[in-house]
Amino acid sequence: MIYRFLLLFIVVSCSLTLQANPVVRVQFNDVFLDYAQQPRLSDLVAGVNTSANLYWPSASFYSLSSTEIHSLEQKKAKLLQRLTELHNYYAQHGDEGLAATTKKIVLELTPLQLAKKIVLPLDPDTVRIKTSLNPLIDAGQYLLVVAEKPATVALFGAVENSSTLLLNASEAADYLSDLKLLEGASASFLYVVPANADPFIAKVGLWNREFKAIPAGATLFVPLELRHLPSEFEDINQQILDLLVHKVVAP
Amino acid sequence: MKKSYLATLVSLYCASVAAEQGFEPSTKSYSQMNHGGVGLIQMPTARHNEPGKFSLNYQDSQEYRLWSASVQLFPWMEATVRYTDVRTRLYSDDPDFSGDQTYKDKGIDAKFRLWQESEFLPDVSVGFRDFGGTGLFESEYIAASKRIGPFDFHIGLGWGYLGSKGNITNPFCDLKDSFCVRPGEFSGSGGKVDYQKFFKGTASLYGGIEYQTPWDPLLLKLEYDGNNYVNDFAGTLVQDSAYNIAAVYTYSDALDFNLNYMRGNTFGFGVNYKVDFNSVKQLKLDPTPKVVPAVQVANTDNLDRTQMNRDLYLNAGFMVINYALKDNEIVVTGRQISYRDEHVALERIGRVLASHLPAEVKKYRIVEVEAGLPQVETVIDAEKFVKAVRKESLTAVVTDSYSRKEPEVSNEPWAVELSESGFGYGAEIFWSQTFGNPERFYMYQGGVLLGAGYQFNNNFSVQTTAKVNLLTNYDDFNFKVDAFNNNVPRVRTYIREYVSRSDVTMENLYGHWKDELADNWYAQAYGGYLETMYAGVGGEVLYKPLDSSLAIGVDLNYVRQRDYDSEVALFDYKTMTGHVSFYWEPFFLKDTLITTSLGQYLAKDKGVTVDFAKRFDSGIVVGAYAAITDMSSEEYGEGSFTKGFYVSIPFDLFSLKSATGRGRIPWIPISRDGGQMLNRPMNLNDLTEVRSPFLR
Repeated sequence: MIYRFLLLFIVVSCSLTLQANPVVRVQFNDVFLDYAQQPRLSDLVAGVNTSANLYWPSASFYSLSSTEIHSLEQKKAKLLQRLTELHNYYAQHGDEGLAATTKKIVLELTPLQLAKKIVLPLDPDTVRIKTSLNPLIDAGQYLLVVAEKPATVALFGAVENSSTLLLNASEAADYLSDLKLLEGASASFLYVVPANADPFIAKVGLWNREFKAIPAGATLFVPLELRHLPSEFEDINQQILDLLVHKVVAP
Repeated sequence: MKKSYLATLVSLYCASVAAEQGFEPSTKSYSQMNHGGVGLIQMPTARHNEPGKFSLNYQDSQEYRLWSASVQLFPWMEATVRYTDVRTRLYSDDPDFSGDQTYKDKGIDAKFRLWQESEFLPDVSVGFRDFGGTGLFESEYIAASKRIGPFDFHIGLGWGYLGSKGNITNPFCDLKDSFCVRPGEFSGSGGKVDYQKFFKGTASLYGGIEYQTPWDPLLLKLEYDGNNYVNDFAGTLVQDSAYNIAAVYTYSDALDFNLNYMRGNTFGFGVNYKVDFNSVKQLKLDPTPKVVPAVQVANTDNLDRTQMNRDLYLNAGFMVINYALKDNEIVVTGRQISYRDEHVALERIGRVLASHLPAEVKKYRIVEVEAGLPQVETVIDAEKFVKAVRKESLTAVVTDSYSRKEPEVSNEPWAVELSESGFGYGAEIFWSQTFGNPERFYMYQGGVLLGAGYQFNNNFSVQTTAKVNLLTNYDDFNFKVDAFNNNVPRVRTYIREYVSRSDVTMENLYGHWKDELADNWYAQAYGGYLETMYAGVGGEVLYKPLDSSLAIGVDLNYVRQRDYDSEVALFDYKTMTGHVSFYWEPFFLKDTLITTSLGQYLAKDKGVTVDFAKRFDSGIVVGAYAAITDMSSEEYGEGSFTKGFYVSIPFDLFSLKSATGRGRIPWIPISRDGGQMLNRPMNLNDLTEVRSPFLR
């Protein structure tokens, strides 16, 4: 307890004295951790690892570099433009249901907060024992998100609900019964975006079902079924996924 | 005290559980059918495994014992080779020739995917079983497969053996009369692809269901057979039921066991050993890579050269030939002998150098030398490299710190004055084997090749090799030269004479010259006893740009056949032989090398040899080759033309220490005198392998 207090004191005092011009600044739960010199990743994660309840497998680390955010926002604007075109295409062809689904994705994507996600091991116990997993953090501003183990899984795409309960001892296809799929949703594939790993595809159809576990803190993206997409929009699911990877998860 | 100890244990246990997030059971591969290859019991399906999946199968079913090996070469192609033991027939009618050995037959199958399964459409494949001419099970099929939950439904249309029941009219027969009857005899002298028979004669519809039971290891199969077994090679097999059933038990990722009941009267069983050629690997006990110290040494004054060389050898597997330190850079020449993966090798080399050299040495130039010829230079930007291994940035990657280029090592201030001349010697083990002989099914010869040589300078040398047999059953040969006589010179069919004359033989003795003539141009010339069966003179020129997907070589030789009764005497037969060879890694086929050689062969026949090699992620290479020449199949004899298969396996996959060596297991169904090349003592494309690595 005393140690923890002391640590907090040091962190606070650091941020007080160095606030003027920190080399690295990391936002963590509304607190800014400032470093006068580039810290090692282990310094950062060990510093905030004050509670046994923190669930590191679903932690995320983002760069808040303004150029990166700007480029992501530009990508988002372009994608929104394309999705609107897709919506108009469906509307013109009288596909009301598909148009509504596309509209829903546009509305969902518009307010999405984006930052460049850096996928790397964050668990303090993994990071501190291996030099190769413990890089120096480059000068700049970052966001670290780590909290208790999430009880829900975020949903995105051609699905009505925005989240669903995390199921224990189950696979991706088990989630389908809880999802209210919208018209045009793929019944065979789900994109899974884990909090701190590369995205992967889960096969969930009657014809291709394969065991894939959904990690806590993941976002499930229900893509649009390929056969409903006009050929010039065939890559739209991949484009959505590429942005979704950089979605800032609320702490 | 005890309690806290317990608590530590518990917490350690929990930590390991938490670390094991994202549990993934291994995905099951599709199971093998009796004849090898993905399928039901007797009948093939449209299914394909993931590329790289390999299965070694043994199946026993009363009249037949089937040994087969099946590999998924590409996502769209499966290849299977098979030996069949027909237990109701003898190898030959002559007991002096083959004793009581039962009949053996070889077979090759291939299956190609035409359409990949989607939500509403099935997988569709076309396949060819035993298409090598004399096959007992020769057939073609088109099959479709569709999965619905735990059920996998299959339907197919078979011709030949698979379609002998003839339960429908051959659909091609409606289109063209020539498809109504299947030609009886095989063309040439067997061993040819009899495409003129494809999809002809009687045809049958067949089908089946696979059911994945809720108990994961157990799969059940039911099939409707398209074969009536009336004209079976083993004799007419009584068919009480057109339905066959089977159960497959997956014991582990590596083993399947199956039990089946066929034709309503015959039990069979089998075992499948499975390996994934892409992911197979071996635990390694290599030394820990050197840690680059927080502060590098101040200068080169106290450089321990011996220790640096030793570290390069023991820690980085780099056998140093020489090195030169000059103006902020070091040039090291040598050979990589341990680490197959060039990135692993370079990181280890860089770490050793960075731990011995000061920061002022900004460039590490690593030059790989093969047989005295510099092949490729990798330039490591030391500053970038050190930053990357120390992880001084979130994004630094070691591989970004170096690049490959043409070696430039003419006038370096070498640390050691090396003498270019001297004696050398070496030894390697060999193992040769042949399957399906009349005397015994398996025949082998193993021993050591003892080599020695004297090098006059970097270009000229004299080399010799003695072959010493230690283990062999080749003395069981009951004939030395086959009885097949035609006018073709016996350029290779005296093989049994050569390998069984003596346990110690002179394999080769020759003078050799080689050089790099200009950038990208390599040349060699040689004369003497070049290989087991030939002596003579010859030369080769190779054009091989660095990291190019294409290399071109030309070789020309004048050779005379060696006398198999003597170490030194020669027969009268002499010939010119040589080829223009193209070594090509096509961009559209991942990790594939196609070697095409055009020219004149030992028996003076002219033609082309095409060798197709596919490398998997583990380093295992599966290859096939065929030589098509102007020699007719009647002249050639059994097999019609020279062809063969091979698997090349890195030794590294079996050893606990990393190593660069390889073993090649050839499988040559029948080898005769047509389409035979000279085994040159050295192949320039192999010598310059590191310039454009394929066998990594």
